[in-house]
Amino acid sequence: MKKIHKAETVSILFQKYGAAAVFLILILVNAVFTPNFVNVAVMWNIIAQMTPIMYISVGMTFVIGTSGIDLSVGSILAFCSIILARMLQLGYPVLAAVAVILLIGAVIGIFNGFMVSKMGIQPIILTIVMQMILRGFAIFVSKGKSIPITNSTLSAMGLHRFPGGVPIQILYVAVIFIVGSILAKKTALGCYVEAIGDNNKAAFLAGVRIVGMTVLIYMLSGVMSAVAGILEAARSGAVDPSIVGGLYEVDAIAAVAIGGTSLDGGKPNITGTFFGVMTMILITMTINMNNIPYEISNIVKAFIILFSLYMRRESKA
Amino acid sequence: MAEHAVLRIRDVSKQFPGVKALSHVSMEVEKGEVRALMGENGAGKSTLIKILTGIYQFEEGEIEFDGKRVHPKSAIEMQRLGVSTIYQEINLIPYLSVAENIYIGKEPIKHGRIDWEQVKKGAEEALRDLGISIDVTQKINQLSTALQQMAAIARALQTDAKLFIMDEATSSLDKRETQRLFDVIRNLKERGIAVIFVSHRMDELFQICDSVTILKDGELAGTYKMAEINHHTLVSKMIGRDAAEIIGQRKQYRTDWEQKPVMCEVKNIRKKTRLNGVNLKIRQGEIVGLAGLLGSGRTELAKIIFGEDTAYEGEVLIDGEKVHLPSVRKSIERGIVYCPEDRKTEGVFLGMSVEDNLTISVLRSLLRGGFVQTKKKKAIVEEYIQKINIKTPSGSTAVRSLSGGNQQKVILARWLAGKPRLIILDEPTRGIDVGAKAEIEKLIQQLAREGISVLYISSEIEELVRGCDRIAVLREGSVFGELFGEEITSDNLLHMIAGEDTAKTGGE
Ligand SMILES: Nc1ncnc2c1ncn2[C@@H]1O[C@H](COP(=O)(O)OP(=O)(O)OP(=O)(O)O)[C@@H](O)[C@H]1O
Ligand SMILES: [Mg+2]
Repeated sequence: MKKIHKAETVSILFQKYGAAAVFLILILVNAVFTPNFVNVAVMWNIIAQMTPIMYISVGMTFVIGTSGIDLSVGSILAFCSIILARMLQLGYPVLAAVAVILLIGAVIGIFNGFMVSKMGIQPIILTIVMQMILRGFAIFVSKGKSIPITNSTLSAMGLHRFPGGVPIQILYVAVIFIVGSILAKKTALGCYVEAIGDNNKAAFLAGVRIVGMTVLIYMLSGVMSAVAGILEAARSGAVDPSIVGGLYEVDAIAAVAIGGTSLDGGKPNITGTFFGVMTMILITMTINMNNIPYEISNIVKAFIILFSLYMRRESKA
Repeated sequence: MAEHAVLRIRDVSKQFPGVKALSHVSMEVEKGEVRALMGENGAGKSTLIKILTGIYQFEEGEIEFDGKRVHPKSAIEMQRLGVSTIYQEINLIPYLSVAENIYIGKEPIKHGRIDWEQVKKGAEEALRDLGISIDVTQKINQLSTALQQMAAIARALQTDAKLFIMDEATSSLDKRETQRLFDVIRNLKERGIAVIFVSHRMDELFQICDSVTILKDGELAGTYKMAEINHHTLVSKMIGRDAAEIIGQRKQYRTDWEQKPVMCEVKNIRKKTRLNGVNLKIRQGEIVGLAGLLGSGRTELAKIIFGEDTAYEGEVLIDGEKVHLPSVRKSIERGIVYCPEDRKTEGVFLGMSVEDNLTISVLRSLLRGGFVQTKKKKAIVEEYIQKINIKTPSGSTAVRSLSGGNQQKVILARWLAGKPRLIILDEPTRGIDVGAKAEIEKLIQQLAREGISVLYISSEIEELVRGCDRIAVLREGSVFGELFGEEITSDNLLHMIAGEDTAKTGGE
């Protein structure tokens, strides 16, 4: 049972276009109030900065679609980027190091998915434990010190600019947006994810491989976090094990929520997530450029999440 | 007569995005009257009811209850005024006990605390009035659909209401429980309490109702005294064309399956206390009915054959081969599908579109190079929307906004679309209107002629009698008897279900 009235229509609209709307509003607000905001260089910076979160959020969109959650993404990123930095430091070729950490991301994800679907552990508990463990490993491996990135190939992957100052990240963003959208819309995956999130038992009875799918989805999230780790390392001069990727899970979850993927499972909305990520970054930038303390930006983000949850409160019975 | 009206509805309209669910509907219900509300799936019955109970808001018109104008804004409001409702979708709280569910919101208080003793005793009594004796401390989701329905009825009856509304309260009950409910309704009636009763089972309406209001596509098609109208006219009014072609035709007996190989066989199936030694064969192209009382183990048996329930003793053989590690997915791959009884928890994805709901289990066959072939998918969806007449604005509409009967059709279509070899139908026509029911029965006949085997579970005797080649009756955990060909009559079946030998039939 539910109530149907105008609020429902509004919330459906918000679910579809809310993220884009919030994004546009923020741009307008900034254009008026923030000095130097309408500045192409700033825009390119946004893109370069948001890329790792974009990757994590795409993985998160699918996880949340199955009505799960992955709080370990930031720590996977940290662990992976530390291993990457360490391997490069020891003189391994970039390709080998990248392959190794993609594998690590995948294995962690598979473990998460298996524990959730086969062992029936609450995803929120499991991944928070994983968050602590992996952050601990990252600090342990690096003995708590940040590791400099000196490999020029890797740095080129993160710092290269095309003519006009266009950052190379624009390619990465385009790739993940397209791949994510195709996965969600054109393959069977999107439908299975939604089915699992909507009604797990019915999905099982309809012949959906619940365990296989869940493992796959968490693996995707793990791999996305590993890629984010590479991207993060490529942009920085050094990776600090206790800072890198910190609170990225919050940004990702917020982006997904604003983007209109229901937090208790449902259709994975990649376009929404894309705008959700842009919104998160914009909030951070707005606050930085107006000299508002960093801590405040988290509070603002929290309110935006609350707001978007409130807007869609009645679209689910 | 207007003096005695407990409920007056005048010119009520309700618009959903893209659907005019009700337009200018008026009706009056008197004290002590049992009023049937009839109409095809999606005609607007549940919408009207939800307006009366304050769940939906209406745009136009007025409602008068017990002499006062009301504009219900919430369900609580109408409950307080004296409207008690059993909704079409059973809305119990799965992890609470039966007793807690029955008393929820009206727990008796003693010394400032909930009096659990009283809750338990009261719940037991309430169920006993309906002829049910079960352990009321067990969780509600451990009960069969029918028992859950009875619990929902018991809960609604716990209130002192002036008007009871029952939206397909009998849809998962069998004859006996339905009669119990009718006894209760008669009792209410004597006390001057009014009842609005929705059911797609015509015989029930003629048994218990005084009058009927018919809705057709959201509009009032008339109100009649039951005594003044016959079955045929009623159905014709409801579907808007002559009903002759669809009412209760017995199918032709076929015998062509007799020589066909056995597709599925169960041998000596045992399961805890419920099943003790069930044997049954289903041949290719045969429609086997499975009858029995509530709790006789029909759904359990179905779930074992389907591979959902793997904790049993005995053997399931498919094409003569024993199934070793039963699983749902393997069954589906082999072409054995199960259309569940409990649509809401086991069937439907409420938030997903009609399209996705309908194609989810055939999705793999629609892939090419990893991509879903959208055209093919849409074609299947269109085909079934036409074939069994699913009333939906479009394929991309969320199933949530379909009427109950249309949701059921979507699930049925999901399993038919898979071109199965054995389809197990557990109450497939539950909540489906007469016209659509006839269509579905026809479709099942046609499938059988094409060689598909059907295991047909239904609490509706007539439905089994009309459509089955053979009917097996489950009783006390095993197959008590079978009826073939000419033996299949309602009387014989009723007697067998009740536990008498067919040889001794001839009167009660
Ligand atoms: N929440 C909703 N959103 C949009 N449309 C709805 C909603 N609920 C019902 N409808 C539409 O309103 C119409 C009437 O539906 P309603 O549920 O009242 O039918 P019904 O007569 O109860 O049918 P059934 O016999 O199948 O239960 C249908 O066309 C249905 O699709
Ligand atoms: Mg209804």
